[in-house]
Amino acid sequence: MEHTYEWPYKNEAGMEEVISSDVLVLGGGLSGCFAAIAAAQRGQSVVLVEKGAAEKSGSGGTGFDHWESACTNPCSLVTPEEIAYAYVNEQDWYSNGIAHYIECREGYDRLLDMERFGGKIRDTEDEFAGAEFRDDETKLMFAYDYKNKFTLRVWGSTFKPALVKEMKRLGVKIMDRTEATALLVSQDTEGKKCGAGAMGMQVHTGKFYIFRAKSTILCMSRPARVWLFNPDTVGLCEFRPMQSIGSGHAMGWKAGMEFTMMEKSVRAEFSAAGRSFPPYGAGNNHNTWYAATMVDARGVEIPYVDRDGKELKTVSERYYPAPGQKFFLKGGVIDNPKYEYRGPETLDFDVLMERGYQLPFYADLSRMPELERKVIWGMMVGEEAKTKVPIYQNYTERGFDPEKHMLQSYGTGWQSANFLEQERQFFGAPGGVWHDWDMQTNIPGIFCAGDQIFASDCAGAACATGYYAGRKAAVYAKALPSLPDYKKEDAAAEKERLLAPLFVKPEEGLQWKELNMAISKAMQNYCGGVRCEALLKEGLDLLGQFETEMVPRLTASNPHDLMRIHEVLDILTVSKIVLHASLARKSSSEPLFFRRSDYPQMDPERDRKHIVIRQENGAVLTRDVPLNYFGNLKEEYEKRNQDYIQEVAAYGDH
Amino acid sequence: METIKYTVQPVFCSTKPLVFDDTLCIGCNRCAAVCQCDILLPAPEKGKHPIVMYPGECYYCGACVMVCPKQGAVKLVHPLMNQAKFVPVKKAKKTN
Repeated sequence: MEHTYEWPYKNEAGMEEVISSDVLVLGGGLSGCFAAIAAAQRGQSVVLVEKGAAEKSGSGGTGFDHWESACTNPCSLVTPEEIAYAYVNEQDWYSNGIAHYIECREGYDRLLDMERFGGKIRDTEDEFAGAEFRDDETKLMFAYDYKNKFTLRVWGSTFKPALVKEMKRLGVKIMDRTEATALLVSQDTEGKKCGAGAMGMQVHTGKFYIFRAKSTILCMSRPARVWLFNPDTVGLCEFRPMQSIGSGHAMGWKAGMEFTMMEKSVRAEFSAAGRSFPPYGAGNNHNTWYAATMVDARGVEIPYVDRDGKELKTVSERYYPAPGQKFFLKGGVIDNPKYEYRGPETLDFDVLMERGYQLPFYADLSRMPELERKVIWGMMVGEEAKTKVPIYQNYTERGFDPEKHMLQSYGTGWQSANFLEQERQFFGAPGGVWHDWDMQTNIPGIFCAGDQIFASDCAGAACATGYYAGRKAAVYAKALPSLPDYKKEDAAAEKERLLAPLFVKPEEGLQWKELNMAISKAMQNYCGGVRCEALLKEGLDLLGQFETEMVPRLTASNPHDLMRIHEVLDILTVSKIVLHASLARKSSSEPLFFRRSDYPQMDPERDRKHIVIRQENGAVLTRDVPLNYFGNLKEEYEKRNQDYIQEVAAYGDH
Repeated sequence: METIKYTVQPVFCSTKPLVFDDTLCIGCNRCAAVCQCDILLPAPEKGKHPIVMYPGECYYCGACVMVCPKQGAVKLVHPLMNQAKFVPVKKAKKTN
C-alpha cells in the first residue's frame, strides 16, 4: 500500500480574493513577461498570472539558442519587409503577416532590451573570436545564413531570470503557481461585449481568484496532448512544457473569441514519450544542429546540396545562399521550403537510399572546423531549451566527446522520429487566436501574443509580439476611466466548477489521465490524417458524451490534481474547436495539412481564405477573411506605431 | 462550504527522472520552487530533499539542476529509451 502524505501547503479551498490592475497578463513565458514589461513601462499597474514559476517557466524557461528574423540588427543585409513577406509566401499566405512583421521590425529591439535586463546576446568573452559566424566588431553571432546575418545565436538560458528581475523592478505583481481558468467578460457603454479580466486558482492551495482589469493579454501558449498522450511519462508527450496545454484557447472559445486555422495539424514531429527522441538529443542537422556533418553507417559523408542540386564541397558553403539567391530561410517553422527560399540541405532520404547509403546515420561533428563544432555542441546544444542539463551535461557525463564520437540519428534520416498519420500535433505555425493590427482579439480589451496567436513563430516572435501587445493593451487601459464590471454569478459558477472534483469520492471517480487518454484516442480516430463530415460529427458526439457523463465524475484529492483535471477539460474544449474548424472547411488543403475524403479537391480558389470561427451561446459561427487581410505590412505598421518609432529613435540604439 | 482535507499519494511511474544525493542536498527546496511542472513537494522533514511526487510529469527541462546551489545534489536523467546511442567516429578526417 502506498504511503499517503499530508499536503504540504495551506488549504484555501473555498477562499477567494479579488485582485485589480490596469493590465492583466495571463501566462509568464517570454511573451507574457515582455507584455507585462511594456505595460508597466507605460505607467500601468500590471498583474501577471503564471501557472508554474516565472523564473524558469514557459518554452524558453531554461533557454533558447537562436533568435530568428532580427532584420534590424546592425549586420543584417535584409529588410523586415523582405523577410516578413518571405514567410508569408512560404506559408502560402496561411500566415500571420502582422506577427511576422512585428518580429522582423522590432525583434532586435527586444534583444537589446534583454541585454539591458542582464541577458547575454553577444560573445563578450571572445570565445568564438575569428569565427565565420561572428561579427568581431559587435560580437554578435549568427546562424544559418552567414551572408545576410538575420538569425542570431543567443545565450537564452540567461533570459528568463533577467526578465523576471526586470518585472520585479518595474513593480509587476507576479502571481506564480496560479492557473488562469476563465475570462471575465462585461459589456461596454454601448452594450458590446468587452474584456473585464479573468478568474483562476492557486494550484498549491486551491484559493479562487478574480482578476479585474481594464485590459487582458493572453500569452498562454498553444494546445497540446490533443492526439498524443502517454499516461506514464506525460511530461514527455509533447514538445512544449506540460502545463502549456491550450487553456488560453479554451477560455477564449468559451468567451466567444475568434480562431483561425484550427483545422491545421501536422503528423507529429516530437514526442519523447513515444516515437521520437528528446528534441536536439539525437544526431541531426536541423535547427540547433544546422549544419552538422552527417555520415552513414560506413562513415561515408552525406552530401549537402544547394537548391539547384549542386554538391557543396566545404562546411562553409552550407551557410550561404545559392548563386543568384539573395537569402534563404531556415528555422522553427520552415520545413521543406519553396525553391525561392530553399537553403543548403543534405540529399533527400530516398536519393540516399538509391545511392546505397546505409542506415543508421550519424551526426559527426569531429569533421567540422573547431569553432563550428563548438558552437553546435556547447553553445547551441546547451542554450536551447531543455538541452543544458538533460542533453549537454548528461551526454558529456556518459562520455560523449564530439571530437571522438558521432551521435546516432533514428527513423528515416535526420528527423529521429517515425510517427503515424493519425498521431498529430500543433506544429509548424498552427492555428490560434485571431487578432488585428493591435494584437487585439475580437473581444475589445482582450489582447494576445506569442504562441497563443495563429501561425506563430519562435522565441523572437514571442518576445516581439508580447511587447507589442503590452504596449497596445496599455493604451487601451489608459483610455478606460474605470474597471469594467463583471457578473458575480459568473464568478460563483466558475468557482464551483473549479472545485467540484474535490467533492467526488476517489473510489467512485475518474482520474484525469483516463479522460486525457480517451480524448487523444478519440481525436486519432475521428480527426486524424483523413477526415469527413460523418466522422467529425461522431467525434463531436463522443466528446459531448464525455462532457455530460464523464466530466462530473472527475475526482481530485488536492489542488495539483485539480490543476491537471482542468487542463484536460481545456484539451476537451480545444478538441471541439478542431472538430468544428475541420467541419467548416469543405475542401482539402496542402498548406494546412488538411485532408477531407468527402471534399478531396486541394485548395480550390474559393476556399483560399481564413475561415474564422467562434461560438456564441453554443452555436458555432464562421466568417471568411481574405488571406491578404493585413494589407501592406510596412504602411499598416507605420500608420499605427509612430509613437514607438519615435521612442526607439530617441533611444538611439539603431 | 464542506471542509475538504487535501491528501497526496505517490503515482507509479516507470522512470525516475530525478535522483537526490542526500549527502549533498541541503534541503533548501529551490528545485521544488522553480519546477514549472510542479512535480516536487517540499520534504515534510526540514533539511531533507523534496519528494518527487509526480515523476511522470517531468518535462526534463533541467531547471531544478540549474538552480541547485550544491552541485551534484540533484541529478536529472532521461528515461533509458531516450538515451541516444553514440559510437566512435569512423574516420577522423575533417571536411574543410
